[in-house]
Amino acid sequence: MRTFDFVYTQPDQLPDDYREQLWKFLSIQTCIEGGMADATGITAEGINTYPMPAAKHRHFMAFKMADEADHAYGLFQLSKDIGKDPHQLLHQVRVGEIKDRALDAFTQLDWNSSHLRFEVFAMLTEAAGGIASTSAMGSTYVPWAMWNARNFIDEGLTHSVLSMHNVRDLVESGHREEAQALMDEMYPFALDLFGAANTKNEAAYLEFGIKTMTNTECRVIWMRQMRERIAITGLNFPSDPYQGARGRYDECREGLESNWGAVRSDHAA
Amino acid sequence: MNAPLTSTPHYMSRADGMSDEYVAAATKLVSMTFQSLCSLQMHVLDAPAHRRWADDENRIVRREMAERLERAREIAENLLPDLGVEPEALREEAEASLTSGRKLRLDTIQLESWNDGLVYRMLYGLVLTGQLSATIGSNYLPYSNIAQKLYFKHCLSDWPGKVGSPHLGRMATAIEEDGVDALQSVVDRWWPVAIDSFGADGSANEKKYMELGLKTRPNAMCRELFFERATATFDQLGLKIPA
Repeated sequence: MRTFDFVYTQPDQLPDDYREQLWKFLSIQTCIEGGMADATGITAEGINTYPMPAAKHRHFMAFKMADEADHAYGLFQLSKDIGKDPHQLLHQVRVGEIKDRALDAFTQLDWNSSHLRFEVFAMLTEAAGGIASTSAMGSTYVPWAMWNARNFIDEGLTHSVLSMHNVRDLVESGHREEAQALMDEMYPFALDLFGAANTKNEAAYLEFGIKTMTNTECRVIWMRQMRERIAITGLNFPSDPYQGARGRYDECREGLESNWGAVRSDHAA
Repeated sequence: MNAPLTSTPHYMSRADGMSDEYVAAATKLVSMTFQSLCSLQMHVLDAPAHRRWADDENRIVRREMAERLERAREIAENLLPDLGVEPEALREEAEASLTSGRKLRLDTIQLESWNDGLVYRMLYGLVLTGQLSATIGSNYLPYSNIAQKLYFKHCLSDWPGKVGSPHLGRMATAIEEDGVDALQSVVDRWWPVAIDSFGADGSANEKKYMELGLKTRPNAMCRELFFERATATFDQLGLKIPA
């Protein structure tokens, strides 16, 4: 985590270059929260109409959907405050004018056709969303920090933990093999979610204080958290945890094997 | 742009490898937050019965009190035991009198009228806008969550982007009904206490908290944020910053 000797609380205080860099981040996040991407572009998150084992699962899903709508609302407000039009962006993505905003995990995985698929996916990706948000809770733009604070509480401490318990229930009720296969399939895509290491954008986010941690630092924290949480479910952590769907992340080895940057899962469990 | 100043890891609990020095500093900071939240100062507030808004405002102020105690409960159940501190003794000390225990200065004043309470709530939010800017990004994540929830409640007029007093409307109503001079006199009384709610610049505590990552901004920057938001808020209401 890095700290900075400047801070902004109002959008009109932001320098133009800061505003443009923030919009880069917001535009990607808007496409995730404003409607999960699928193979055709963007579709509303919430098409989880498969039968659920118990009322508590539907209840969780309803609250999660409400939280995601709030997250989207917050992003829309932040975007509008800096003079950007999130609705226009979503329109451009939906009609195919922009194709590079959807993340692989949402376009290449079948993540919402069954209870087990969704819970394994959510356990991995919601935790990733939460950890990514910890990197901006000390942001130099306080409204952006406030959005991330809420996202961390919802995704990092609530959704992902509930999904972990749901996966553990499924493993204990006889779905171990299927769950392990899904974990092995989905883990590499979730590992990719933090972005590549040492990119130009990452350097800019850190320079402006839009983020306070690198992609690698976030990915290591997530890997440590996943190692603990996957053990809680009774499943096996991948034998090669550095292999993503897009590439390898061997730079995380030192962080995962030492005790650096740990975030335990039992606090919120 | 300025270069980043420090780099530290994050902690969810002691088991994540906090040093003894970190635990001691976290205990000091968390205990003070806890005792401030345990203050019974607002419990005397009761809206003037003849006002048409009295019932609504009583409901709102009681919800604020309950939510502050909810944050105190979270600290008592999740943070203090992890740090090895027994919360009940701290609570009892904080409840013993307005000035007992270690509290934010503003949380030790005696509220004697509804307008006292109203100005206190506005100043409290403005002080927190400065102070919490140092802890919403703390590397002690359960503590940063407490700070974030307080910021949501007291420092935003709308989540996530509208940093400003949520009490602007009710302050404007009070000024309309009781006159600006009545409210200004309350502001004049509590303003010095609000300013004193920030720690000393360059103190040993400040240096330690920053080095450890428990705080991410120095007292001077927090105070500056307080002045900035107070000036904007007072301008909107027609109030003056006391000399």
